[in-house]
Amino acid sequence: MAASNLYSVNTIDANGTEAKFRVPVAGTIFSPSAAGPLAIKTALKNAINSAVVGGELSTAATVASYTPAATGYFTVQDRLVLTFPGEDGSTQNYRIPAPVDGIFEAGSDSIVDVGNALIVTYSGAMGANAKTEANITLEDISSGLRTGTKLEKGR
Amino acid sequence: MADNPTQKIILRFLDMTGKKGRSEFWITTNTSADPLAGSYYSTVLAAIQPLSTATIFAALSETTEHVVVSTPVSSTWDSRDKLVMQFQDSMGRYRLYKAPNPKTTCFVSPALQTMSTAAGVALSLTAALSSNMVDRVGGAFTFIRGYRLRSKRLRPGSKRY
Repeated sequence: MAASNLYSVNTIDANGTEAKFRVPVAGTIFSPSAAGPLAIKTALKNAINSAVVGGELSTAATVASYTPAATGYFTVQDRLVLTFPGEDGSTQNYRIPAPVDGIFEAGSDSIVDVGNALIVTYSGAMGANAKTEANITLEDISSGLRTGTKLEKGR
Repeated sequence: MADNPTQKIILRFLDMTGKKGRSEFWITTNTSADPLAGSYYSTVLAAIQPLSTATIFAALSETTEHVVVSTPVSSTWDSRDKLVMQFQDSMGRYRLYKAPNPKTTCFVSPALQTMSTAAGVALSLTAALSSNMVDRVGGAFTFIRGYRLRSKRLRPGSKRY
């Protein structure tokens, strides 16, 4: 856990122009509506003419990583797009950059084999832990495709 | 404002050419614990890494509030105008925090360039920041001074100051 997390307040002025106000807060705060962020937001609202339209609390962590491999589709411009249905009937797409080889249907290098062991494990982990943005549980993966994207600078 | 029901987890990838990518998913909001320290996060992380040749080198979480639509007050200043507040962290480094579109009462009249240190909204803001900001080693910030600044033009394609 980091010593500090980042709290952002989103504002918009009478011309419709957005601005953000970002400050570091204690690393034990995980909610933008906790007491500390709330005190900052209230004081900011009183000091500005813009409307405060919401806030975000961001945390960061490093991950124990390994050396990237020069196998499979090894640039992040290649992506898997994996589609899950939500229990509410919605469609959820999740992207994973630089996919490994060996997870595609026989004779294809772009259509994901949803019966592949790695995909089944991923599907199970998502179903048990991830949600739609509306907090709806995901069902098993329905399809997957490898696609290329234009690399975004600075990412 | 209440928190949204889900928190976004962002995994950052680095491929062998040095380019960065990302993968995102949502988990149910739990504001009492670090979302990057829970099993919801670690289980999905462990299932995603074997699917990619790139390495996951960092993770971020974002917890947002419900958006509340209110009416901004019209004024001669806008989001480009800032109340710049200079603080010093516990390691002696100076940090600038910029409140957009400040009220004129934040400044000393008639020039409206220097932050007013009389009791008022600006002093309340710096007090709230001093009380609640924490630097990267867990130390406190000390307020130094405040002044007005107008930002340069927006970068092409950007809509935010």
